[in-house]
Amino acid sequence: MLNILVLGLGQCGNRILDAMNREAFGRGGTFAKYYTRQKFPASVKTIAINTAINDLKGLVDTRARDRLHVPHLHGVGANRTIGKRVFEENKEIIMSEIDKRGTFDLIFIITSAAGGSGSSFAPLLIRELKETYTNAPVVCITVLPFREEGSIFLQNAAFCLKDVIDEKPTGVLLVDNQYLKKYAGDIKSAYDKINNTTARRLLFLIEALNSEMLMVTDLGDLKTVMNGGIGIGTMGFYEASKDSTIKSAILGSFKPSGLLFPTNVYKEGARAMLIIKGDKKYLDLDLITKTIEELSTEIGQVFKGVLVQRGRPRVLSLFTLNSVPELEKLYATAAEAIRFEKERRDRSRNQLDSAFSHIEDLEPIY
Amino acid sequence: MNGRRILIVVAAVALLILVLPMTVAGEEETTNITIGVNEYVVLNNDIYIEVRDVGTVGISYAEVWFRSSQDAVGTTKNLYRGDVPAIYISGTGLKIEVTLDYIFSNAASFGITSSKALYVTDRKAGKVETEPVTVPKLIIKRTIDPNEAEIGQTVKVTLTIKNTGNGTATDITLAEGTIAKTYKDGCPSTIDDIAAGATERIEYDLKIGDDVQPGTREMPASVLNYKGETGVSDSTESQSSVLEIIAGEVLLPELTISTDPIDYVVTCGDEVPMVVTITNVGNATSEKVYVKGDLPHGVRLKGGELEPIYESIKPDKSEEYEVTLVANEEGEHVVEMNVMWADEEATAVFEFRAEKSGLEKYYVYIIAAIPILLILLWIIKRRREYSY
Amino acid sequence: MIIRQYEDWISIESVTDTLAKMGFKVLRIEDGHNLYYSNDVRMYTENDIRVHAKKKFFDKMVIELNNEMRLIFVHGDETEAKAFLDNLART
Repeated sequence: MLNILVLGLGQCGNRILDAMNREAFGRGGTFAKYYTRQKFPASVKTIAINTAINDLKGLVDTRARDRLHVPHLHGVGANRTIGKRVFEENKEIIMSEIDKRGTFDLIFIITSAAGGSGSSFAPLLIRELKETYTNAPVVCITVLPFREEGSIFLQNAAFCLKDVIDEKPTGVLLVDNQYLKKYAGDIKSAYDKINNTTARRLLFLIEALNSEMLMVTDLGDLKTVMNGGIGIGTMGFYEASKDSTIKSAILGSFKPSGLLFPTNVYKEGARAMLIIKGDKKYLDLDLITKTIEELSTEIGQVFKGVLVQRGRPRVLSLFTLNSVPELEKLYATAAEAIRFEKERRDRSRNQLDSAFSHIEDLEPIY
Repeated sequence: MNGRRILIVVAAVALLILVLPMTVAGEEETTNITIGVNEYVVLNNDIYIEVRDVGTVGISYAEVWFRSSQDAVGTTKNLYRGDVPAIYISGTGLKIEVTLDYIFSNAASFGITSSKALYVTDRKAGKVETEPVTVPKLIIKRTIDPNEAEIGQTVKVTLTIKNTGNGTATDITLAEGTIAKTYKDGCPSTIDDIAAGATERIEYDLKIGDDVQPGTREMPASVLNYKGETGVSDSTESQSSVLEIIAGEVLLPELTISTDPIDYVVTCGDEVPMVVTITNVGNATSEKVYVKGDLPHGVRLKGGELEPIYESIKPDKSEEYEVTLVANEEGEHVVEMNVMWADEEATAVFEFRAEKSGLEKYYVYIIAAIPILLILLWIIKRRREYSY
Repeated sequence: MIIRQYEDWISIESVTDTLAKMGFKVLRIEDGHNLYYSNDVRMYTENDIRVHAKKKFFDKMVIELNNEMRLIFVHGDETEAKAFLDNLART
């Protein structure tokens, strides 16, 4: 059985982690935690890490002992510099807390790129984890902010993503709030939906990696996929309708509507992994093999895992990209925002300086 | 004139009242007359008394013909010795009462009683045998000594027979009265002849049987049948006697069994001490003594021997032992203890009340509460686990 | 039954590993007996090894290796046999 560590950093990471914990209770609703146990598909350890204690208190389905408060008043106020300092100061506490959970075969870090704690902790934590758990792949699920959330968040996202990639994790899976927002009405339900979707896909992946499959894919394949392209990727999902073929289900998982980050897989995809679950009667292996062979010619290496499970076919696609045009757009917007912010600050500073200049050379006379 | 007449009448009446009883009652006088067979005497020139026959048919009798001057036919009567007097009233109203005193071989001797003075005015006498007949007369007296005796004892019965007649009593048979379940030892059924004036003393033992009921018993009279030398039979009997039979002291062991009662309510599962005491209140040492205990349903023996056996228990001695009982079920429990010796047995009961402990009373509720409690604890635990 | 010919020699370990990954438990491994007639060489060869494996109660698979002819015979559910061969190819 695989030992998997899932770390949720900052408010966003915490919430996705909490959603994973809730999913692990099955369909029990709010009270499930009072009468049933979590059923993770593997040996999954979760830790929610945050500097804001209120964010930790807001969690529902994560055990208290799995919530680690890194003491710094009430959060770092979206300030990544302070966040980094706080991490360095509390590194020992965080690592020892992780160490208590044993050894791991795979580590997921879930964080928002825009916030304070998560975006500042994530790159440093990747570094620490790579040093400590040399054999365990570290996959960072990074959530990008709504573009209108403010310049600080955009700026944080830009620098955070850079820092993360600089630390060379096994892979970075992007989740774009801006992109997913269109599927939900208000902000609150958008957040909930994004969190739940991300959580479900991660659990789907974990279950597949831990199961005995009809057609086998494994952690090694995951590493290979994550190492492809620029090491940045995302996930797609599709649940087949009643009459659709397994081929349409596989192709459906590459459609933009199923992706967590806007990209053209056929154009930008480097490597991919497909995990197919469903009743044996839907699993036409020849068709699956043929479809994947076709995809391989367009995308590159495509790994497949087939899992016999009750229900209609469900396909999770996980892939890395050769190029990310959407990121370029993000960085351009961020740079614009930074520049605008800098100009405004300079202007304010000048204004203040000129105000102060009035009392230059003067002394208080009382 | 009239007054004088009344006075005379009153005086005459008073005189009459005083004189009349003497005249009516007269003075009764008994005259003894012996008359030969086929002879007669004439009393007061009026009544003829003629003896026709004498004999003995178990008892002496005489056939007598009474007639008078104005009653020529008269009446013939058989007079028996010892019988009530025969009454004859003559034609002139002379009344006589006649009893037969003795009979002789050819004569009879009568006692004649009348209110008038009687005198023999004439007699037709034959030859009258003058030799008197000898007749025995026995009197029997019985004494029992002592007349108060215990069951199983032997008392002495003494019969004293005296011949008060003038002849020897022969063929004497004794029919002795009997008390049920007493046994005579040495009581004769026939007795030797007793000469006139002689006294015979007979003693025998009367053993009172073991199975006789105690109390006052009447011993019926002793009856003597005897004959005189003339062959005349006679009998006599003693007074009945009274014998007081007392229940004798019997040496027997008698055991009682008792348990010390407890006057508190015990709790199910608690130990209940039961002290059993067996006492010999009899006057003999008992043989082997068995104790049997009957524990009711829901009571079990925790410690001690419930049914000990004692080789013997001396009179006035006790054996005491203690056992520990435990009641498993609530309610009134009655333990029956029996002591058995020889063919006898005695019983004692030991009662106590057991109640469920406080915990058991609420057992159902506790059982019901446990899952709820566990669920609550679980929920609390889970809540704590998930609250930060 | 599915028969497939391979370029390379197939090790018994790769067969058992693949079976294990698919959730099959190897029951026993025995020397092969079945004869295989090859049209190409016009001869009979004997299968070297038979691997008996089982998953759950009815799910059985028997794999025969004929290393002389570089042949693999998979007996069992067709879908699983195909999957097995696909998985084996990746080892």
